[in-house]
Amino acid sequence: MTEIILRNVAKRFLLPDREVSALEGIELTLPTGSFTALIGPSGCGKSTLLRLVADVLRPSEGEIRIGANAPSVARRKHEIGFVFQEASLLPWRNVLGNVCLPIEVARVPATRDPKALVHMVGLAGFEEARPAQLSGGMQQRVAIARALALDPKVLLMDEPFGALDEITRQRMNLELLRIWKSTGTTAVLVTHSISEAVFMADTVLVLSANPGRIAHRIEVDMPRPRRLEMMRQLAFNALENEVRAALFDDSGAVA
Amino acid sequence: MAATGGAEMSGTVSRPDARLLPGRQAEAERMLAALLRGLAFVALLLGALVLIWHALIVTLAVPAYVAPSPQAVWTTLTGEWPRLSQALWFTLRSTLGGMAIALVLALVLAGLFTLSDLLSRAFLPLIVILRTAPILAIAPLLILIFGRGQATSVAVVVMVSFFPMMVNAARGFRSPKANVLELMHVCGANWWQIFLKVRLPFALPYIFTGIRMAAAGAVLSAMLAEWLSGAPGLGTLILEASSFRRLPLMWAGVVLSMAAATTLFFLTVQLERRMTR
Repeated sequence: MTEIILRNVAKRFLLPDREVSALEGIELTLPTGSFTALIGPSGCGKSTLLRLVADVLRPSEGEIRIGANAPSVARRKHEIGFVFQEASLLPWRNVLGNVCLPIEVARVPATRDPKALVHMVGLAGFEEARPAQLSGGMQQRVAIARALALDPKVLLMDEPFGALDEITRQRMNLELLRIWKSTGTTAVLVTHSISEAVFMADTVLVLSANPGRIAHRIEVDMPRPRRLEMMRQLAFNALENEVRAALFDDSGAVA
Repeated sequence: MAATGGAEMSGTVSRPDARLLPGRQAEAERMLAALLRGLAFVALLLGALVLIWHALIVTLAVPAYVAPSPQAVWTTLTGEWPRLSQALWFTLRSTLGGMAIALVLALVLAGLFTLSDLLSRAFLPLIVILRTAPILAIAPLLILIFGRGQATSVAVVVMVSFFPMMVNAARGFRSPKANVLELMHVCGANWWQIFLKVRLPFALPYIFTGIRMAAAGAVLSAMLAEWLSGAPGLGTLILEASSFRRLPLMWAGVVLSMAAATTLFFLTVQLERRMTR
């Protein structure tokens, strides 16, 4: 069981002249195999929240659990996969080499065949290609395959398709849902697209800024598998509007 | 969004075409052609230089005790080859040895600097002070410590080469983006793995810049050290030939040292191309 649990989590950053509170009083339980979207104005701490779960940052207060473990333990057990906004590939390694990187670092027998992963993200035939030879969307596919290389229990994504054009983004989202379904990971997606949040997630969490808090929680009761035509349904639009209202209610004057 | 929404897409996987990548053989052929063009260019340039040298001496009727003709230098170069090559080899050993030691020291220190900012703040001023000390001023000290043999030459080359290598390597080790380092951390990588798999490869172009900057002056500093210590290298040979007014020998030494420095420089450029492709 790999629920993600956050209990009263706060994160403060120490600047030279003052202390800035990025997150305060975060209480969350993300069930095993769920898909959660985090949305909010920039500076609301969504990326910070993700980095706390990934053990890149330590909380100033409170407790985080991934399954039964602290994030540091889960990280060392290779239970966390992370996808950044930039693909962050190593330019001198080819596609397969980049996907294999976590396996090399972890020094564990590969639980997943890297070639099969490359296939799964739709890059069959590109195993030998260098990142510079790939488009932005293809690079992100590699980053996703790399994040899945150690068969993580938790998949954390920080605006993974933020730099892509709308069409590529839609296509990647559909594939991401397919991959998520087939791997059974607990997924968290940071985004600033309202429709993306509603389309992808079971639960949309709306964060407010200064300090970052969870202001609203919106359950998306649309059936799965999600299909693009659902975006034109009234129920979908209603959910979008609900998220939009929650966002602008809290950021107030910020338009 | 509505425009793409019509089609049922949830099952499709788009597969980009892999046949567009360039072949390896074509690349090798291109490199060979470039190398040949480069060599032809160098030969042409050298030929032109020798011609101009010769023409100047003939037309201006420069006496042999001011500047020797290319033929005289060539005759000395071939006639005194055993002596010249021995001196060249001595200087090259000091140069390469000094650069190798400097590189290892620079990489180790710059690598340690990635461990903590405190460390770099403590050591960097010391290194800068070492750098600003003129070699001429501390030469007696170096000779006292390392003697009048090769060790002093090596030490001088190390001192001159170390600084550009270290500064560039330190910048290179800091060049990977935060995302890449965070990714390695999430994968459970330790400091050494991050250094080896990310920092070092990302730093390679910077490290080579350092080596290139050092290579330009390394042969010169090895010869400078010989002037000060009297060790039997090209520097000493040139100095002695000059004081005995043996101009063809002196010029042969100068030509050899220039050829050595240029070759060293271009070798590092080639090595860089190979390793950072």
